Parts: sequence; structure tokens; C-alpha cells
Amino acid sequence: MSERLMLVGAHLRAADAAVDGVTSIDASPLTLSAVAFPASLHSSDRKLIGRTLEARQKLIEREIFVAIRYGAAADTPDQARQLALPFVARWNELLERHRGKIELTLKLAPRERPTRPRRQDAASGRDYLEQLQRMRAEALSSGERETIERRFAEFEKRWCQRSDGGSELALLTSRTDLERVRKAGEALRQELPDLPFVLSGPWPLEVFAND
Amino acid sequence: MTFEPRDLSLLETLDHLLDRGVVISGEAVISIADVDLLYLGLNVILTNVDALVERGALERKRHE
Repeated sequence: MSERLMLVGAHLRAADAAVDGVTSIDASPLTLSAVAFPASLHSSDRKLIGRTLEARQKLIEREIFVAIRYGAAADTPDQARQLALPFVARWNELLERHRGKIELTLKLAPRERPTRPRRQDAASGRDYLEQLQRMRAEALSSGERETIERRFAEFEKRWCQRSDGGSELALLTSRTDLERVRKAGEALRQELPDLPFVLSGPWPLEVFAND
Repeated sequence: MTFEPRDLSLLETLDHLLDRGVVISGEAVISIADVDLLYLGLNVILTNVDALVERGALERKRHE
């Protein structure tokens, strides 16, 4: 029975990808991790998604890696290498720079149903999307944003907007700083008790992989 | 609606798997309850419009 490979991530060292249920692919100087699955299976298969989730979790326990978004599948290891080839040099630099770190996510839920700009008010599709982005960005008050930034001042940060109207703050910090991040989250909850948020991690390089 | 911590963690993890990380190439089907809702065949960027706008803004900043 032929198999395909669902790519999971790119790793600085081969040992970082050596976990049960994961296929390692040499993409020198990096190693790619993948989950092998029967070619007859579709990428929407629930068990395959579950196995990929599990692999991701095990891999991040080892070391930071560049997360490849679900859906990139290859027929052979060589095809997987070809898919990754345009990115390898940049990923190598990122992984060298961020070794020993992890990403965390502070997800802020929208308080109200997200609103959209009126299509008639937009001069073009781009204008509409930019108005939409501004509207979503304003969902969090400037005071709240300042408080969050102050609480997490010591960590590298990136703000992201979500399509559901929520905001998200991606944090990058040393793996040994998890407790400090958790305490910053507790302090934020005390300072802004009405602000609904979820602090989660550790995650691989996801937002920061696009630097 | 409230979630048990385990469910919240699963949803959060799934969200990261499907909507985060580097897009290289591939294919994806978003399905709920075994019904395929959306098929994205490749080389498209699987993302939301907000992320595209944000990336566009970042690209413009890089070129300024």
C-alpha cells in the first residue's frame, strides 16, 4: 500500500524530529518531520488530523521548530524536500536565532459580534479589506492594548487580527520563561477581569516563522 | 458557552494546526462532522482575509 507524507515542521537538528510516529526527512541543513499516511486517505481524515496534532505536540516538547500549516503533503521524501527547498535558508536562520525558545498565544475573544464596513463606502476591494482590518483592530481599546503590552513587556510580541473579530498576541520567549508568562497572564486577569482571553502554548514558530 | 479545559485545549490545538504556520504547498479540506465543506487545492494560500491584509501591510512596510 503506497503512502504519502503530511509535513509537520522543519527542525534544526535531526534529533529534534526523532519522536515516535514521525518520519524524518533530511533536507540538509535542516530535517523535515512528517506523518506517513495511506495514499488512499484524504487530508480531511479525522484520524490523520489527530495523528498530526499528536506529532506536533510531541515535537514541540523536544525543541522549537518551524510549523508547516496542515495540508502540505508529498508523495515521496524527495518531493517533500523540493517543497521545502525555497524556504530552507530562511528557516535555518530563524531556527538558529530562536533555538531554546517557544511561541505562546494570548487570544482575546471579541466582546461583540464583529461588524463589517459597508461595501458601498469602499472605493475598491483593497479599500474594503483595509477598512475591515481597521474596524477589527479597534475592537480592543487602546487602554486595554497598553495594559496587555505592559504586562508582557519583557517578551517579544506580534499582534494579529483574527477573522472572528478577536485579537491575538503572539509571544516569543525562552522555554524556561513559561512560569513568568503564566504569572503575567494571571496579573492581566486581575487587572482586566472583564477581558475574555486564553493564554496557550507552547507552540512552534508559527507567527514568528513569517519574520 | 463554557468548555472543559480538555476540549478548549483540543480546539486551540486544532486552530493552530489549521490556521497557523508557514504555508508551502499542499491541499486541505475543512470538514465538520465528516462533511467536507471546503476544498482548497494548491498552491493557494490557506488563510483568512484579515491575515492577507496584514501581510500586505507588512510587505509595504518592508519596501518603504
